Amino acid sequence: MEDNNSTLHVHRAHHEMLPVWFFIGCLLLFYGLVILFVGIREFHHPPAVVLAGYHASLWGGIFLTVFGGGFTIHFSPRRKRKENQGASDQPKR
Amino acid sequence: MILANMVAAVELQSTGRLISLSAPDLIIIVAYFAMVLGIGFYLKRYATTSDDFFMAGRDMTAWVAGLSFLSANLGALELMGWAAAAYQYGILATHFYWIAAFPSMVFLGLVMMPFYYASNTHSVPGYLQLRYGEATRTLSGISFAVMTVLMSGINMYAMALVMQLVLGWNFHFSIWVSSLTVAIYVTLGGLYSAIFNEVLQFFLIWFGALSIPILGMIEAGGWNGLVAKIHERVQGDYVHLWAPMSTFSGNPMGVHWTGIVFGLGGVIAFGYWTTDFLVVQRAMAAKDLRSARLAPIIASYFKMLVPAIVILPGLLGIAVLPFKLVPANTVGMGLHSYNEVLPLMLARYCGPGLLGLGVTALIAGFMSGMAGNVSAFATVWTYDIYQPHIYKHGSDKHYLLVGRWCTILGVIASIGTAYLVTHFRSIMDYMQALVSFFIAPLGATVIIGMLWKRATPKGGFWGLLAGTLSSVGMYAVVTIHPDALRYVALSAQAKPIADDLYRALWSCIICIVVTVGVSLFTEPKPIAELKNLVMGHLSATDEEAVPLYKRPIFWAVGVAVLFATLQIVFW
Repeated sequence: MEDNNSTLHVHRAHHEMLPVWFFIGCLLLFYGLVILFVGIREFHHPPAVVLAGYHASLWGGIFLTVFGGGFTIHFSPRRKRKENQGASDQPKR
Repeated sequence: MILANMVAAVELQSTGRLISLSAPDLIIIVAYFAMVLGIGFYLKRYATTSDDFFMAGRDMTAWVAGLSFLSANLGALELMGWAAAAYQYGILATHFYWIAAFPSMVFLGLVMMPFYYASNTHSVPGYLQLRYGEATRTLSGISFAVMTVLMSGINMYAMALVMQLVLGWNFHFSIWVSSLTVAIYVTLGGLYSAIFNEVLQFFLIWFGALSIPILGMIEAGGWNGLVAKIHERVQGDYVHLWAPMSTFSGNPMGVHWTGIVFGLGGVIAFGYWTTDFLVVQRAMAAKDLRSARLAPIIASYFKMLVPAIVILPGLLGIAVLPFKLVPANTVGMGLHSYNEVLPLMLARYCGPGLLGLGVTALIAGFMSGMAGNVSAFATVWTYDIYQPHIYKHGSDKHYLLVGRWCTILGVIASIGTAYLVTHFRSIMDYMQALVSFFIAPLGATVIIGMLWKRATPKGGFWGLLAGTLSSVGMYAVVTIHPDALRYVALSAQAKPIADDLYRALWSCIICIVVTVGVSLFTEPKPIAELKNLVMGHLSATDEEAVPLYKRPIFWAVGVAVLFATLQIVFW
């Protein structure tokens, strides 16, 4: 705990935790699906907002679904496990 | 229970609310709260030592540290306050994002971060202890602790006010729900949790607010249409950055360019971005020196883009809203204040779902600011006040426990502050006053300490004290005798925002003069004790063989080019 540069040891844990990007992907994917559903529904029940004809919810929902889905898949723990497994299965040179 | 109470609060909406939420909006808000709490519970298992809790194990990548660095700053002031300032002052408010960010953030990354990182300290007051001694650390630690609690209270107050005005939620209920959520996730996961949630909040803020500028520019007819509409509706130059700043009276802000360049860009910005532990702590949590140096530089790129989701909505509000907004102190029946411009624009363009995302962005912005303050408060209180002055020889587990309790106490103190703020004249002036009290002289003290080896412990202490007291003194004099503003800001035409900028400038100058003066007559520290603390005595280096595009200097040049281009385009 001493702030003394001669004695202090900087602890570096390097924990194997889920990356923050995975959490972000999951939440944005969920948001994307909810907003996409609302956007599709708005074709029959347009909201009382300015520029409703641009279907902002539909486009926003598609964008968030793709973005969130991409993050979720790319940073999923299952994918990382497979990558690690593949690396360990390769013959060592 | 919390979520059930939230739904109950929504059902108790008052009739004066700006926005009505539907089921999809509530689902989005509830999912956000569930996610931030879930992250807190998930990360609890990793926060097992004091370094984990206070420094996130010093294990963050440059991108995570950089986005967190910026997100900790995207609090109440950023989202609501600067959209309101843009409506009031026009594009001049952008100075607070550009000149007030790029030079100081790049300076932190290129020049100062090696000292913070190589000295292996846990905090900015910790650096001051190594450089100047215990007295300076204690003074800055206490002033920082006071400032963070006050800032956190401002965040809380702003959030509760927004929830009340925009959604009709009960003011007290909003304060307690948001603060309890922050208290739970920061107490569980410490800085890990704060950083993870800040990066998450960064994305929510951007995606939640982005629909306003996109749809707003379509409605206004692009930039040219926006400018034409603003000229039709208001007098004065609202769309140029520097052209109207040659006189105090020539621009809506009432500030001369010297105040912006030297007061804002030169003193306040350097003080805030390079020494405010709230943001510096995020960069210090990086996994290596190169990542720590890259973090503020990465953040500076996004900081340059923030006006798109904050300033542009304010300008669009001038152009497209069918009514005029008024100052908060003149709001009457049927009128809206400047502070409501962002939620008004959100309600104008966003239907169900997107509206919930926008409201979540606001909540996320407020909570990230609050969490940042609370986690920094816990670190400084534990390392710089409790450990050296109250209980010196505790175990690591003891300090970890103290950190967790400090988080809870910090939240309680912030709640008390939030209720105090309700009696203050405006959020923005309050924030600026606080910054100039503590941050401006602190910035000068730290930078002198890093760049001038002759600066002595006594010089640092008395310079910091003189700068802080002079700032408080100037504020008190101008508050009691408003006419004194002409002497502080050097013009009878100066407006209150100029007072803040020039007060910061004077307090910095006083700090420098006293530090240098006292240092010349007192004993400096031996060179051997200045290793990794002063320019010319730095042993750490990150100049390993990495490609040019991975080096901090490469990205610093890039952001400099972006800055220069934006100044020319909007001159």
